[in-house]
Amino acid sequence: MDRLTNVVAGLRSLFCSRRIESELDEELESFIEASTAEKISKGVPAREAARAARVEMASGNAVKHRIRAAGWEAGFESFWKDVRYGVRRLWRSPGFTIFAVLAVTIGIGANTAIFSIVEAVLLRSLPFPEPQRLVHLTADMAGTGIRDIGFSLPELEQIRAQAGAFEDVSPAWPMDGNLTGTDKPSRVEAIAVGTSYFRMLGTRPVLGRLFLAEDGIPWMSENTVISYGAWRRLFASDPKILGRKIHLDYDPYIVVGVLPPEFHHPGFTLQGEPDFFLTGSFRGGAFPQHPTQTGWRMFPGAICRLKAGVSIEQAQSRLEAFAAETGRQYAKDYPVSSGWKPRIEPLQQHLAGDSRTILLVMEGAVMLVLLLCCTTIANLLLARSTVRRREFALRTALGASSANLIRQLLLESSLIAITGTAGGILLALFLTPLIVDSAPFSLPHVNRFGINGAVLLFTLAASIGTALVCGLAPSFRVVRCNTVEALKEGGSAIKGDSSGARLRNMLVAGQFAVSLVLLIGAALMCRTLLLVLHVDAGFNPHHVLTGSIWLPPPGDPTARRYADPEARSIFVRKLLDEMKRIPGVEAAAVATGDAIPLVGWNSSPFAVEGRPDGRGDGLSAQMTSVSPEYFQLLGAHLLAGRTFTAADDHGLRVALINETMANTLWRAQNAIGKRIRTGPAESPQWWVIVGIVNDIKADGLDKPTLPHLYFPIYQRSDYALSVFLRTATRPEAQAAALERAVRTVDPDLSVFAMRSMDDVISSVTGTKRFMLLLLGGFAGVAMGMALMGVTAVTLFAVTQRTQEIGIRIALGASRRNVLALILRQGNRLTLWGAAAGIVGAFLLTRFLSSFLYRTSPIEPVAFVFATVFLVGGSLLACYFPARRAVRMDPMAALRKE
Amino acid sequence: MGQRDVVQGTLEMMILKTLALESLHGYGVAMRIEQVSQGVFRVNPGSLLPALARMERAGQIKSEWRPSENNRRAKYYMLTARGRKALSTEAESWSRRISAIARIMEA
Repeated sequence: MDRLTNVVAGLRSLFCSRRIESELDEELESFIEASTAEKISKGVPAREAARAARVEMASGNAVKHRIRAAGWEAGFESFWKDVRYGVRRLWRSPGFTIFAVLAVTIGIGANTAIFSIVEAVLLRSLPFPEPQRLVHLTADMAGTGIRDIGFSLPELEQIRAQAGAFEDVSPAWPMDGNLTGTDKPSRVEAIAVGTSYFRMLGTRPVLGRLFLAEDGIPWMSENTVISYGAWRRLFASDPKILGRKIHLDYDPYIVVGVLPPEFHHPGFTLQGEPDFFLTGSFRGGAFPQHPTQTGWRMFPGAICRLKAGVSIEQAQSRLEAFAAETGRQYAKDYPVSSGWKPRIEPLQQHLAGDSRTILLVMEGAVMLVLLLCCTTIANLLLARSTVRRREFALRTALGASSANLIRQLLLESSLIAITGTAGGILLALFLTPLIVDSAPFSLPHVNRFGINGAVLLFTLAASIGTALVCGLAPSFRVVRCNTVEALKEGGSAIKGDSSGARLRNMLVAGQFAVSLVLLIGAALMCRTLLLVLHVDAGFNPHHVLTGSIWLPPPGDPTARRYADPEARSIFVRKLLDEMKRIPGVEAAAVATGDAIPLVGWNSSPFAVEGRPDGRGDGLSAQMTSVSPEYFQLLGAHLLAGRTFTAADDHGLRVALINETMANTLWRAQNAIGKRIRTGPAESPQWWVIVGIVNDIKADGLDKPTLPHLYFPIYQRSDYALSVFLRTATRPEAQAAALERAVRTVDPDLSVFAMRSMDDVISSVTGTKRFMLLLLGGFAGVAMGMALMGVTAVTLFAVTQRTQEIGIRIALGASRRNVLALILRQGNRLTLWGAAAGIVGAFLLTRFLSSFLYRTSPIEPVAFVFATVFLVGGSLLACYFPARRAVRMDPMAALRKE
Repeated sequence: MGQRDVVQGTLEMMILKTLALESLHGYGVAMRIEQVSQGVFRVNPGSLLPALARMERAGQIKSEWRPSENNRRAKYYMLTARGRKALSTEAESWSRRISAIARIMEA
């Protein structure tokens, strides 16, 4: 009851403060009046009595303050007063406040964004029951050094049955195919999994059913489960989808279930998310029947659930025992020298893959950025606290304790941290998807990215850290500050502060060093990118649309429409006719799937007629089949001989070679007319070289050009095709027309991966641009902080030496002298920092080597450019506070003390 | 006028004792303490009013605005049940302490 009274009274005094105030006044007044009346009644003259009564009361305000301090709300009230005071102070120096809040926004925003990715990829457990028991299984040939060789089904079954490590094993085999039987044929991604796959992952369907043991029929089951995304995208969320018949590469399937939207396959896929999940026993047909038939290891890996109570290490040692036993049993298939060894790793670790290191490096980098931001703000606050020394001294003299002052300083830094954190969270909401989408490394999407409780907790911790780092440094000064000294005339000379100044200077120099390392890195990447973009790709990428077509070879041989090369040639000719008929198309070409420049392809062996075996063997070249229009469409030039014609089909087999191949194999000799052989010596195919074309970059702009052989598509074709259109206008605008053209020729086919050649170029330079953006962004922030730091130090020096400068000017020092005096300190820091930065960059830029192109990690141009940029910026940053010193009126400066 | 300051920690006890007889306003309390102590203790308003506020918050006394002798409004303080209890425990511990001190001084 009494506690309630207390609370009510406290709230009342908080919310009706004006009324309480007047009551207090009234009480004091009545006290004084009573006291006066009493004195008068004792015979004291009225005026004296009133005076004596007031003297007894001393300071009415102090009494009121002490009365108010009796309630619990007093602490709250004085806190609120401090907050208002802090806000007012920050409001009065908007430049500092905006900078500090922005710095925290950037620091916290970058940290929150990267941490939200780290949390989703590395920290949060996978969204499956008992995720710690899920592992990824693969196999290596330790003897030959080949990793991830994959499994055959018999191997997986033996491991499940005999290794004694797993409760469940499901193979996972990503594939893609041509989907027909829907409104529109399209290219889809599928994955073949074991019948126990969904049970192991604890998944429930939103429609229909998932796989059952009965689906494990010989070869593959017709039943397919589709992803939620595929259901929406390909079937318009049709509620009657169950039982729907579709075809993948002409093989029939029946949809039996739809997965929930949050389900993602926890493993590698070809490109995106699998749309179709297939299953079966994978026995019969082309699959091997016996464990010894290991030759065909078509499952790249498997997802397994460990037996309850079996640790990863135990499971691994059981697998090794199993491998040893298998080696003894089937010595012919598992020779000891091959070192066949199944290997498991936690599923989460497997999914994170290479992104783990990159993410941790990025997390470290953004923490460094936040630390830079904090130290800069701390530095600025320190400089300000020097200016505020008198204020603090005065407050101390008026009875404020050091704790009060520290609370005030921490409160100001907290206000900055809170505002900046709010901004940072908003920034992260925008940054996280940007990083996830533009990262040139693949990130697993099994866990949703986003700002959740764990991320906010991290942000909160970072924010509290920020407030503490920013606010404590000036607080230490306050504690050490001597009141009397500070209030004394001319007490502005700071004594005993040299260690603080040294620390501050080292911080600023360190910031310069870090910014210079980052700037040099950014300059190296910038030079690389410029050089790469100026590489002569050997073709004109503008106004070219490319796409891919897959002529499906179904499992059922009788359904094969394009098994015959002649059928493929007819398809190509028909398609070319259709493509040329599209309005606005200037040229059209069809080639094998590997003909898209810059995307990269493996080389295949060939031999040259008449060369001794020793030299002829071991030759290899990239091989591409193209239609006659290909070279002209891409704007490549013929250097010698002739190009292909539509007549290069059933007659003489001919070939074109690129300049590199002509130069490496024949040097000055004319290559034209030479014969080369592909295929094995027992069944050779001979080709006559009829022309030489300039080098077209096949493997990316920064990769060396390899020997390249071109064949006429009518003499050597493939199931995978690529198509090219040269358009008069924006190439992407012709995508629909290209799709229609393909469907006119075969309504069951689709074009996929359509994009302009310009897009291809930007995607092959993606990693470099991401690195440049990353380094450039960090360098920008670091440099901004370093410049603010040196400004703060200079400002500090100017304030501290006001009197000295005044005397110098009064004694006739020229403005230049004074400017030099002030700039000297800032410049010394810059130069020390720059020197350290150059040394650091010499040591560190080598880690960038793999990203650089024709640029040495110690490229002098980049070093000079970055250093000049930084030093120039620093001169400017020092100049503004120094100008203030120069413009000072010496009399005013001297009077100030 | 001899000892002017109140012995430390006894102000609240004296206020309780004073208010136990009748309800008084702030100056009345100060006057009563001064009179009863025959001028030995003079209670400064700077200590008295905060003490009254503290005790009111602690629920030992409560207050009420009433017209005073000179026809103005004044805040009168009176003891609560809790205040009476506090007075008796304080008085008991005080007399124990005082007799202990007396024994020491007489020894």
